[in-house]
Amino acid sequence: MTIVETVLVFALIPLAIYGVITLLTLRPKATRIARYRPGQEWGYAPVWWSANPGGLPADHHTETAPVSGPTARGGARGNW
Amino acid sequence: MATGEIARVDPADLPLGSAVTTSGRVSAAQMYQAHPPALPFTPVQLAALDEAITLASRTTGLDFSVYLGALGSDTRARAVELHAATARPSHAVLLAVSPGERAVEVVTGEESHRRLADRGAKLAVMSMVASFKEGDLVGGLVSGLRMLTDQAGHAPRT
Repeated sequence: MTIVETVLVFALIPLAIYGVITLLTLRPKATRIARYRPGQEWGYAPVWWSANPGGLPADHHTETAPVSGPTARGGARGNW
Repeated sequence: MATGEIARVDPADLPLGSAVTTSGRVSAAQMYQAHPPALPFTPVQLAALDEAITLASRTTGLDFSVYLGALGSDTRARAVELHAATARPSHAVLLAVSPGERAVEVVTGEESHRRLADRGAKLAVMSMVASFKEGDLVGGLVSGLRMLTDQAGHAPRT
């Protein structure tokens, strides 16, 4: 085995394998979940979640009462 | 062609990826298309949020809901508008979060304000803001919902 062959087998082939694995990790995934970072734009459609009706007791009232005027009585607000 | 009559398909006419099975039905393959997620949350996070909202509503008897999206320039007015649009505004507790405007609003109605004082709501908002600053939207919402649940207490027995 000459020096050139030794370098090819023991250095170049492992490096090539490392390179392929590195490229595999860098490929963009279509279904990747982008993490939210404070200050960035929020380009998603608005969502409004309420309680799962299946998890509420049977006597949980949900009837719609006719309301007029402002319904808010209190609350709190904050910024970050 | 009359009802119940069987149509004969020539396998040569079918598009690529389709085949006639032994029963006579046509089986067609379709290319998989990946859908990007509609929200930057994992299914585990969404499940935790769903559980927190349901548990809060079940424990307190109030209607908790979480709005996540743009609230416009006047965040309070928009949140109040959304609160009035709920099914039972007097019992509704709305958590409106706008990551774009970096604002969070808690709106309570007549009955929910009686059960949930503004001081308690402010504490929950401060806890949520601490998590939102770190970029943890779901974690903040879950801990805020738990704090509001503890403040409101159990539903009165009737």
